[in-house]
Amino acid sequence: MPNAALDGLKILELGEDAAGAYCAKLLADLGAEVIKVEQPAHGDPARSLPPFAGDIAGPDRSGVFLYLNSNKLGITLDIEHPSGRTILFDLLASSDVLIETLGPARATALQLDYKRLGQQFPELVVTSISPYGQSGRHSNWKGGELTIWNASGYAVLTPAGAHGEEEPPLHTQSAQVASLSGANAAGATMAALLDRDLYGEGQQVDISEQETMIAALAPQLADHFYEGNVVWSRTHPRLNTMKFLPCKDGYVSLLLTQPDQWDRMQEWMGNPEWLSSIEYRGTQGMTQNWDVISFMLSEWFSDKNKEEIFREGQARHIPIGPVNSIAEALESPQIREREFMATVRHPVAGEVELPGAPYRFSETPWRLLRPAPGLGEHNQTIYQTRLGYGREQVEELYETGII
Amino acid sequence: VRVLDFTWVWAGPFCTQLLADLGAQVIKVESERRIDNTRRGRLPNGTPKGLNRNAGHNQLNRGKWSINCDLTRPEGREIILRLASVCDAAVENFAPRVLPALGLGYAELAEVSPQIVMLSMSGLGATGPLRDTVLYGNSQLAMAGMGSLLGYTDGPPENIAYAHGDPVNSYHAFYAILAALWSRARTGRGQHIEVSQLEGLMATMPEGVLEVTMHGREPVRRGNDRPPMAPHNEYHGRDPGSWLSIAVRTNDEWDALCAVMGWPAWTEQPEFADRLSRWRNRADLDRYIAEWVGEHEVHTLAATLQERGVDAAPMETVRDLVQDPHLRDRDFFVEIDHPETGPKGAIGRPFGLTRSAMPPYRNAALFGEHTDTVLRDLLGCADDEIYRLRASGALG
Repeated sequence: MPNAALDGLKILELGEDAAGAYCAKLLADLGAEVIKVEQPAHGDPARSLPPFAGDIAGPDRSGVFLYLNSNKLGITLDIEHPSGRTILFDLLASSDVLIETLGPARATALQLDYKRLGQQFPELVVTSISPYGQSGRHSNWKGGELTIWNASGYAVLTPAGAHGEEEPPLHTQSAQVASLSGANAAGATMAALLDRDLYGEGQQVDISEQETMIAALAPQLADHFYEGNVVWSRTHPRLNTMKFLPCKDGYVSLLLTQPDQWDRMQEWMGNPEWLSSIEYRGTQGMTQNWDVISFMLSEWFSDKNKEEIFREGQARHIPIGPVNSIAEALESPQIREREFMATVRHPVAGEVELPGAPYRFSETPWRLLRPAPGLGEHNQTIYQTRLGYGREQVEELYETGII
Repeated sequence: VRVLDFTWVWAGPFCTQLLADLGAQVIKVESERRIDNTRRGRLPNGTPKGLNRNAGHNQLNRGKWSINCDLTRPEGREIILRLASVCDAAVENFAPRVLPALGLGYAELAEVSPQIVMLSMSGLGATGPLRDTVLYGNSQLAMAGMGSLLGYTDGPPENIAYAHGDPVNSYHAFYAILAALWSRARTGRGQHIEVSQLEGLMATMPEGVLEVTMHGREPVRRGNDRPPMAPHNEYHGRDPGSWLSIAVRTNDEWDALCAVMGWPAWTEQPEFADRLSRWRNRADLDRYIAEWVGEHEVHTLAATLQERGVDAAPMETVRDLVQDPHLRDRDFFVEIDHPETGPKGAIGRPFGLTRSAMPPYRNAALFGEHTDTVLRDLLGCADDEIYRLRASGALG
């Protein structure tokens, strides 16, 4: 069996923001040893996120928690308690990376700010992920999927197309902010580790979820700097051209950006008369006439199924695809034949099928070695075996509620 | 770290932009035969035509080098193989068949450069029955099922008016390539990484996917509801087109929200007494809050709520963002000079490293700007060799 890419890397994960959990998951999936630190009383709030195994809520039954924390070890530790912090420092002494989402004010209050950590552990890489970053006047603002979606400019583009000013912007119902911020943080963490290996010094990596999402929108936002008057508002007519189009059994997604794509579309439709009477090639014509175009396209699609449209359109190299339900996406031959999904067996939740890794390494493939830890599952391993605490000492830590 | 960059359009260039932002020398390979579409993107009215003036292109390609090299000519291929032997990594987002057909796949690059880390990005993956599918990032997310999650309660599926699948892929690829480089530094071994945008999107939507795999239930579209949080929605502000999002998780946050509202009488009703009641009666709750938010300017109100510990944020437009005092505190927006467009604003790097000196921001290279420099300085080509290559058409 080949070695894992991040074999030997030791990481501590602290905090309750899903972006930190996703960042640490990406590192754990490639072989880093990740110890997730949870507060003793309740653990990670993600343990209470649906869906639950057997539809019964419970700390070891949350599917989302299982997904975000597979391949990790789990310990409990009360970092609010001074003795808890001493233990944390023992753990940091043998760690390469701390991933934390405490936010600057709480980190400082807990004496876990980088000023202190950097002095004590000069080789440690501290990856700090927070809604608005470590500095600036909003650095202690709260943020989540809905609010950072707004604060980054994404909300303006959701949903596509004018629903009128009275309809609110929409959130995606999925963890886009946490996922993009986590992946960005994981990349920047690796850069800091490469740097540490060269120069022998760690540093703090400052990841702002707001900035991660703004940068993801950058090519769109960049227009503003070149043409001050181009401001994406929710009613901008160009946004309409990305709305889904109804067909016989659902919806399809189509975007034609090149003249030759329109030529092939026109041919596919049998060169209808209405198309020759309006200007549709090029962004401007398409945008101006989208009401007519979308109406006529939908009419033409109305007796065709989305799979049929997908197949026939792709045969003509037209960028058109089905709007899948999740079940349809999972049943897609592409997802099935590439064996994207992975199954984990959990002692409480049973067998759960999870999304796999978003990349395939030829020499050091990702592996699903262990299910997400129960609350404090690895206390013994870490405190006794790793740190060498005596059994009585560990029992005392349990009794005092520190672990 | 030196990166051989075959990427174009969006997902690929954003990934290599992040590498360039960290100081990697990114050498982008372009040719007259295959010009990055974004170089031909929309230009502001009155701007002279040209390949070096598009806003999106110049944003995504800042700090990179550009060489012209026609991969379809034998001399061009030879240049690429020589370059590969002095590069640490290669990134490409062609359709999966293209580079192998040109004799420039991972197998060929690894032959001349055994330690190279090569990353290939594609829409649906390099293998599988649908690998040749042509789709943009906005339709990828429809295929992944994300569109089916997005929508008003009982309404049709909705799209994001943006190729959102692209940056999802870019950030994942950014991490993957650095992880492989770290591994290579330990083991001396390079490898090939393959990234599928469809799979990347599905990795970011576990709630919906798990609802299906665990229970066989398709998630319902429910606007901005997120059980059991209430209030959790967008509320129209005083000014036209302004929206404020408020997300309340805990009882403390609810109390803080009530305090900012001045504890109006309705907040004392039993329907809103605890978290579960607020969730059950969220339609009424939303009506009350919408009425209150509708009297306020959203930026001021967001600041007041955040000071009291309530998670709230206005819907920002790009115009708001460039003036945002917090982002200014962090110097997030920068200005980059460019020989053809003059100085223009740009979006900064999405990460801060406290100790490493970050390279100064440099403009996106002009089309083919560094062809001679790279051939001379990296490959040791003499002037007459460059002349001969140019005459052969390999540098076109």
